[in-house]
Amino acid sequence: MFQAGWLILLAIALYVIFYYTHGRYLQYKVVGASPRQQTPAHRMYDGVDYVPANKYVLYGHHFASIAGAGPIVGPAIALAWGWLPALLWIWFGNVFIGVVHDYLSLMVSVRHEGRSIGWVAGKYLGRSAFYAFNTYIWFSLLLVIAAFGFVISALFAKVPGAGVAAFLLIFLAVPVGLVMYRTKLGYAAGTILSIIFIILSIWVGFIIQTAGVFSLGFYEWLGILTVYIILAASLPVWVLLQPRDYMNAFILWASLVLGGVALIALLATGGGAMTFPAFTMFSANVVGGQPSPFWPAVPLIIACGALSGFHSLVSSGTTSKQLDNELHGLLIAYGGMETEGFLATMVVGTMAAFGLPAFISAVSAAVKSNGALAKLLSSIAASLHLPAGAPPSEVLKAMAANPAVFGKYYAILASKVKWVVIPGSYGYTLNAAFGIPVAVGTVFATIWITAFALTSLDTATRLARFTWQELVEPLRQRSPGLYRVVSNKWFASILAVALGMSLAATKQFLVIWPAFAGMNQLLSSLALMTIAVWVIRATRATRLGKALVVAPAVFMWATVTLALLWYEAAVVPVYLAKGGTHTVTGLAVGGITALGLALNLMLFALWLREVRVKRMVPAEARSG
Amino acid sequence: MRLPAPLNRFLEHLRLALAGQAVEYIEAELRQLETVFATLVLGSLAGMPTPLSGAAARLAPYMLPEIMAMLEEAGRLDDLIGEIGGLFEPT
Repeated sequence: MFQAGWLILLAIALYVIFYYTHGRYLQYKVVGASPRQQTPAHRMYDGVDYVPANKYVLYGHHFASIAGAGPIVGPAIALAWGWLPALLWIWFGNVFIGVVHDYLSLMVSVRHEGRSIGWVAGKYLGRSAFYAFNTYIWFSLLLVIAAFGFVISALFAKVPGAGVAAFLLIFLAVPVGLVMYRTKLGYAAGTILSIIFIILSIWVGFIIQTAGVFSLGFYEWLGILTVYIILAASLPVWVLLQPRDYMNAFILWASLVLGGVALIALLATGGGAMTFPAFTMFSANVVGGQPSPFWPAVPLIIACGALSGFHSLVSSGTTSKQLDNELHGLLIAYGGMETEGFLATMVVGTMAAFGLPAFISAVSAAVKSNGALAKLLSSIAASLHLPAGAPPSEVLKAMAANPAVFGKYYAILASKVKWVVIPGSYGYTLNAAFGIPVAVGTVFATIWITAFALTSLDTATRLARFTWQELVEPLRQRSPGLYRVVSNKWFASILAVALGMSLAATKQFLVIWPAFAGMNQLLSSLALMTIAVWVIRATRATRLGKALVVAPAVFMWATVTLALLWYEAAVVPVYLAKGGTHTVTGLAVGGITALGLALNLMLFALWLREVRVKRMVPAEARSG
Repeated sequence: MRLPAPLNRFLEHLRLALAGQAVEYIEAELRQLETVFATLVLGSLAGMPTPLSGAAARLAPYMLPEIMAMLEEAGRLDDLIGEIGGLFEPT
């Protein structure tokens, strides 16, 4: 069997080759980057916003900003199609679309005085594109809250030790912040404290997990999280968000290096063989548990890791203002996106190689107390012609050896055990490579995933608040009284959290996640269209260079449009017909994605109009 | 024991990257506070009831960085979501 370590080595080779060929081509033949061209960090230097930064430092910063729980969860779900299609989409999406999106978002912004991609979209595609961009963001944020609210509550309910450790880390972040920002002990002491507290939290989590003395249910965790994010999003950044984000950076790099090294080390011992099927079927049961065609449905599952619209905000929001030299952009944005692809590759490798023992452990532990899970296991056993009372290990081993049954049941079964197989497989990987106890590795991986997801909830709530306040701005003149109420910061926060968490409470993760990924891909599609117009009209790109930008933009637009049309036609009606919370979920996600789809069609019409204009006249100037 | 130069460079960059990571949001907050400060001090020149115009005029030459930052910030007020979205990446 193929060993997962080879995937890591292949990914490194692929990314290096593309960096030096495709990346360099984009840099010189599309953007025409030059060290002589002053960047906004120099041209508009103000010592505050616009400050040139060292390229390695900025790369680390940029990657830490774009990396989150997205590239971990999406690839894990996509294994239903088999690890090979999932991996091919990650690599293809990464090197042909994701890097173009991230790198050119950065360079577009650099050539527009550090303006955001939404602003540039308004300039090239018209004001309606700017409003569409903001609308995508707000609805994406609601779905971020719903998807990650579910993931965290589900994982904490299954690995309560990690729940305690994650909240311990949150409480300990406060003294770290105090030491670092309010005492003369400063950064060095804060760093030492951070490392000690991370180790302490993992240790406490491990003790609690193995002792089995504490547990809370899904809804109890969801309630705690609801209160937590409303409060956390309203605290000054230095109190919690900043020190916790700093601590997360250590966890991110440690998990990336440990996982990659573990899989490579296992090559030497012959370990890490991938027991999950390479390919299951074209229409595995994934989105909403329904048969889902790999194309065009895959971007509704794998977003971050292959392509994420939110990256364009980071590239064009903060990174572009700190770029010291135009030539540094390649390492920072192109290299940063490749590193995220590497993270997604590692997740596929660990899951494909060690997902089976993680599944056996999770299902065996839960099957006795979970009637629905037992029923599902019986159905799987029947599909495999095994007796109804066959032990879970036997059923799951047979399932992994049977691609058709795996494709049909993997995502549904993983949802039933609340995706604990993701951190579980990482725990088994560390155990096989370094002998670290599985529980320690699992608690560490759960903290890793949930630490990012918790930050996602907090930042999404903050961002949703600002976006909402911008969206209701037209009310200021028309209805000042109503504006005062709806633009209130508590109203804006509670609205986003209440809607997002209500969706999470329905537990329909397999339909919420694709809606979130779909809105995210719409955001990236708009960014790619903006970039394409800029490349056609404002650069001296070669014909091949233009093709390298326009082709991903058109392909992505077509893919995500078809995917969402399929989602509206095949998945939403099933949920609407089920009744109860299913109907509510169907209405919510169906409505949001339908709105996104309508805006997407309008934007494509605008885009077609703009790419035909030969003269370099911004849309806003022509319309005005 | 002296570390090889490339390793030294790597560790220095790592230290700088982590240090930057440790103050990212605080820097953004500071930028806003600078603008608020400049607006408060120089507001009298634009008719805001803050310090006397004479005092503001005497302070103005020392506040060039704050004034520049404030003007930049004012120019980007039509792009607030982009600014904040760049800071808070939720995925």
